[in-house]
This record gives sequence, C-alpha cells and structure tokens, in this order.
Amino acid sequence: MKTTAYTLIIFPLLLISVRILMSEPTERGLTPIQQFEVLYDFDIEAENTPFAISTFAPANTIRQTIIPEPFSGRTWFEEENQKITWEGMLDGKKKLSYRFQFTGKHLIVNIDPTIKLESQRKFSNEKNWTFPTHLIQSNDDKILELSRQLAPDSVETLREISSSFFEFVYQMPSNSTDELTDALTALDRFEASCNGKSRLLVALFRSKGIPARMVGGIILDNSRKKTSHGWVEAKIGDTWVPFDPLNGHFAEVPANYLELHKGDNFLIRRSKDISFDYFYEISSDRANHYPSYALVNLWEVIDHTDLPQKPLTLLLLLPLGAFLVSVFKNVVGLKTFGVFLPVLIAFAFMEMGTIIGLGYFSIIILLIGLLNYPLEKWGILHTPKISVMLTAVAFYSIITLYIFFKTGWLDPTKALVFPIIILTMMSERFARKVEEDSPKEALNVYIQTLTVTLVCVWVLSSTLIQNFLITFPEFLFVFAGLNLFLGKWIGLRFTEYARFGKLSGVQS
Amino acid sequence: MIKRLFGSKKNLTTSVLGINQRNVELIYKYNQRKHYKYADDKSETKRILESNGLSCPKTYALISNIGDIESTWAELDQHSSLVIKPAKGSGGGGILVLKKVNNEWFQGSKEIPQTTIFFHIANILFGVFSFGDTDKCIIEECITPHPFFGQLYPKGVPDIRIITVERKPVMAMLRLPTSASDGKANLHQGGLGVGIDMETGILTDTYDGSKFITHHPDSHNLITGMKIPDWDEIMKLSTKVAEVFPLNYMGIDIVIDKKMGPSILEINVRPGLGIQMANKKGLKSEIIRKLK
Repeated sequence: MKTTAYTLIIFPLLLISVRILMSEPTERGLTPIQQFEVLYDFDIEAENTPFAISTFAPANTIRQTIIPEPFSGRTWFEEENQKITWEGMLDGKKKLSYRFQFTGKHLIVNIDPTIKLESQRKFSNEKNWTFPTHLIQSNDDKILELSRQLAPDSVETLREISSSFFEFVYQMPSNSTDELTDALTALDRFEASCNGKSRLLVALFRSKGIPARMVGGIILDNSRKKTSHGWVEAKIGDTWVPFDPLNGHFAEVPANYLELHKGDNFLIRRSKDISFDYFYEISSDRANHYPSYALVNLWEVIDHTDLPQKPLTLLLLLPLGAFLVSVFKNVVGLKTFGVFLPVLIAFAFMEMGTIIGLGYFSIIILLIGLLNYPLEKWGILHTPKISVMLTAVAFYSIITLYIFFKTGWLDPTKALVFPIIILTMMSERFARKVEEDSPKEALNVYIQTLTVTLVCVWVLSSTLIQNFLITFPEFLFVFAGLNLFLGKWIGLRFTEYARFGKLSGVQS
Repeated sequence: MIKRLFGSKKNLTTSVLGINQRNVELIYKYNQRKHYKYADDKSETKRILESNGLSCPKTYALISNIGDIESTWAELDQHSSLVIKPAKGSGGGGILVLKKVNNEWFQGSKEIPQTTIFFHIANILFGVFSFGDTDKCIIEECITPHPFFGQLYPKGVPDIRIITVERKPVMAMLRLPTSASDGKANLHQGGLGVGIDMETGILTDTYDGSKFITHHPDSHNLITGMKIPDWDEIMKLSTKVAEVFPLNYMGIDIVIDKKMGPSILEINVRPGLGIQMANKKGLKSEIIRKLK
C-alpha cells in the first residue's frame, strides 16, 4: 500500500518538476498568457483600375509582442505609427492578407497620487497632444464648462482629475453605432460608442492642458469580425496611462487588446473606386502551458477541440474537493451528508453565487423540515414521502427562481438545472436524516455540511488552483496517494479530543 | 498480537480508541464484510443463536411477504405480549411492543387496532425502517426485565453492551433508559451509559452524555455500586456468542429476563465508542491488557 501511495505522489511531482524545468521561460506561468493569430482578410474588386490600400501594422510595445509573417505589400512609417500599403493595378477580384502573432500583457498603471496639474503643465513637451481638433473640440465652451464642473480648481492632483473625467464618460450610456462621433456630439447626445466616448475623454483631458490621445486597435477573441475598438491614453507624469471609458478599464488595458495606432485615425484608407470588403480573423491559443513532456496537454485540447473548459475544470476540481471533504471527515471529524455532496453543493454555489445559493437552499431545508411533521404523523411510506417533499421543492424553486430573475439577483443565462438537481439531492438526504435521527441532528449535520461546502467554494473558486490543475492534470494522482495515507491514518479526530477529553486525566 | 494490533509504540501514548482506528484496525481487520449480515440482519443473528442453543427471545414468527401478514397474525393470538421489529432496523426504529388486555392490543396505554398493526408490519416489509431495502419482520417474545433494573428505573428495557475482541470480553456497559430517551436505551437518544467492573459486575460511573452522575436523573435511585445479577453467566454467554460468530470484534447486547435470565438481544459489528466514557477508560489500553 505504502509503495503505491508513494508512487502516486512522487511520480506526478517528478513529472511536474521536469515539465517546469524543460519549458522555455515564455511557456511558464499559471496565469494564462493568450497568444493570438490575427489575419487581415481584405477582398477587393475592380475592373482595370489602379488601387492603393493602407492600414496599420501593429508594433512591439512594452505590453505587446508582434511576430509578423511576410506579405505582399510594403511597410512604412507615419509619425509614430507603422503602416502597410498594397498598391497597383486591379482587374477582377483580389485577396490581400496580412498575418501576425500577438502576445499581450494585462497592463495596470498605478497613477502617482502626488502629481499635480501644475507640474504637468510645466514639464509637458507633448504639445501635439494638447491642441483641439475638429473632432476633439477641447476648447468648446460646453466642454470647458463640463471640465470645470468635473474638476474645479480645488481638485489639484492628476489622479483625481482623471478619475473624475473617466467616471463621467464611463457612466454615460453606451451605444454600438459605427458612425464617427465627435466629442461635442457625444456630449450633446449623452450617448456614444467607443470612438465618441474616447474623443470626449480626450477632449476633457486636453481642456486642462493634459496631453491625451486616441488609441486604435482590436479586442482579440476567437472570432471573425469587422469590429475595431478605440480607447484613450493620457500623459500623467512621464507615463502614457491607458483608459477605456467604454469597457470601464481605468489606468489599465486587458491582455487581449491589440494596439494598432496612436491618434485619431481611420483604420483603413483605400482608393474610392474599388469595391472592398474586410474581416479580421482571430484565433487564440494559450502560450504558456509547459508543453515539454506533457503527457496530456489540456490547454491544447481546450484550444483546438470543442471540449468546453468549464465541465473539464469541474471534473479536475472534483478529486481536490473530495480530498478536502475526507480531511474534514476523518481528521477534523465533521459529519457531512455524503462524500461528494459538499463538493457538488460547492459547484452549485459557484454557479448560482454563494449568498443566493445559501439563501435559496436554506429555505428548501426549512421547507423539508416542516413538511416532515405532517408526513410522519400520517405514516407516509418513505419513497412517496420523499416524492411529496421534492414536489414542494420544485414548486418553491419555480417561485424563487422567478423572483431571482425578476429582481436581477441571478443571471438569466446561467444553466441552473445542474445546481437545482444537486440541491434537491441534498434535500433528500436531509429529509432522510430527519427521519432517521431527528430534525435537530439533521440540522446539526446540515450546518457541518455547509461549513465544509463553504471551504470547498473558497478553495475551488481559486483561478490559480483551477489553472494549476488544467496545466498539470497529473497532480490528481497525488490526491489519490494522499487519500491512501489518509485512509490508513488512525489518529483521533479533532472532535474526538473534545468528546473523550474528560478521559485524559483518568488514563494510565 | 499487541504489536500487530496497534502497529507503532507512539499510539500507545493515548489509550482512547477513535473512529479512524476502530475502523482500520478493528472492524476492517477483524471482520469480513461478508459476515456483517450476521449482525445487520437480526433474523440471521437469531438463526445462529438458536441453532447453537444460546438464549435469545423466542421467535414467534418471521414474516417476509405482505400476503402472509394476516394468516401469520391469526396464529399469534395465544400470546399475551409480543414485540414486532424489523430484521434490519437500526437505532430501535420500527419496534412495536404490544400487550394484550381484554383481547385488545395495547402499546403502553394506547390501544392499537389490528389494521394499524398490519400497516406497521407492511411498512417494515417495504423497508421503511431499513431505508429502501426490503426487509423481514420479526415477531418475538416480549422481555420482562429482571427486578434488579426496576430498582434503578422502572420503565423500558435496559441492556448490557459487551465488546468482545478475539472472543474475549474487554469492556461492558449498562444502558439505562430515561424519560428523555422514551424507553430506549441508546446513548445518542438520551439513554445513560453505566460503566461495569468486568470482574464483579458492579456498576461504576454513569455518563449522561455531558457529565458523570451517581443517581438516575428521573428515579433518583443510586446506580453506582449496585451489582448486576448473574454476571458470571453473562460473561460466559458473551464468550460463547463470540465463539459462534465469525466476527472477531463486536458488540453484544444482552438483556436479563425475569424468567429466562441473560438473553442475547442483538449483535453489532460497529459498536459505538461511547462505552469508553461510561467506563472512564480507553478501549485501546483495555484491549491490550485483556489480550496480553
């Protein structure tokens, strides 16, 4: 037994060590680094016409790494941006493409709270990014008035000013219009998409003399789409700090934001007299998954097959949860309904939200406890009795879920069948315990089960642990080995120290 | 033997037996799962006891089919008292003690009509008291406790739990009903656990679940120091019982009937550990001492 247990623990740990040591630094880490492949897929058509098409090619920055593939056009620079252009004579249909790999980092900037507006004006040499333009009307009276309202002279630090501007624009209603919206129009309509909101935020910054600019790019996800995205950068101290007033990222950019250009530019410029269609084709891969010596590389499986990540993660968490439960039962000495039930309830709570789940569930338990009295008095047989209780649970669930969705406490897109089945199973066990022992004892075990469940929710919700198990599924064997040892562990349970504590003085 | 039982010396530092150790080193090691049925099914227990001539309440009838209830019941009319119980019940659930007064059956002072009795037997057969598993119904002789127990507390049926390891009795406890336990003697239902001196049968300390007492909480009669009658016979009987069952670690429940004397009520493969509190002794050290 011991050899088996040690083997189950040591071999997976050795394999994990080898995988960590043999992987390249870029392939390491548990926080996923997504690597995207992006393809500009342009279709043009004309009869015997000269054409030119220009767009932006992303450049390497501190937060994005680009590996371009060779293409048929030419590369050049326009101010701080890198551009690519195809040109020539067109007769019939033609496909233009540009393909590159992108790896991005989630960037969060801590704005120094001591920097004041005064010092910024004095040292700023970014004059280009402080002037009003016809789309960013930073000298318009309305904008200036709003700027004064949001940041009166008493507000001195750049952190407070930017926070105030950002909140205003972020809280403004969003729409998804494609049309070009200037800063003033966005303010007048009090509604805008990413480009309108960005221009308004830039205008507000510039109204105070703070250098600010638009940034254009694409939010990368597994898709084929036309949508591009725009956000904002403002110079605070020596740093260009990012803000996305549409999606609510204050002083941060998510890892999947591809930056294409700085400034208020059109993404694509083309000759007028040709027909043109375009798509961005994006596919994602996890870059850091310790590929060396991986017997089963689940990240690759998730990225390249239809296997959904969520059920896979739940399966990987099940042994960890079961191990936690066995520690609680055999070492601490808590009583629970079943071995897997606390883990499954934890999954249900993770899906519904702990507070909502706990409330919903405790009322079910109360309902069953109350129903037990008449049913027991009438001498109803066990199985029909449980069925009556479950009918009540179903009826209660319909009402509750209706209320939850109506009030918006529960996300209507959540798949609730699974949590409901689990909670129903638990209520059956509770009903049984009420019958076998007493409502008091059932409540006692229920509270102990919930204690274990909440610990499971806390541990199993950890993204770090989830990522670890998807990266190193061989670790499951370690749980098996630990369980073998636990199964032979004969020490007193914590609760038994309390139970037999009175005896300790009596003993030889 | 001792070394085989409790592996390392370190464990000797504590004398109390916990659930983990009981399961790993006593139940799993000493009892084969295929033999559990001799304890879990009381009709099996009685079959073995009867075939070995060991005293147990006389079986009047064993019912397995719903269709047999009525005809079997008709044959039981001669008896003036009887007990109806599920063969696979646990914790005293489903047990009905009936006495006949003026040709009507009574449970205590409550009259029980025949249809209710039939319904109860049907419930037993459906497995209501053995959780889904279909069951058999045992109808047996009603025990009248020895007058000794009346001196302690006059209600219910007290029993003596004896733990045997390798056919040797190692620890014993008297289980006394209280008003809170509703006539049942089980510790977790509010009964009292009374330690017994194994040599003499003299009652030592009484544990009520939270503290040690010397008198019965309801009758206020003295318990400590009283001597259980027929103690030597009880010891011999439990040794014999341990010899006829292939279970090397078990709990034997013995009652003392006014006429029959010591009689086996049931046996248990997973006897509880509360007996250690009643005796103020750890089972581990007792097992080591007795098997030396």
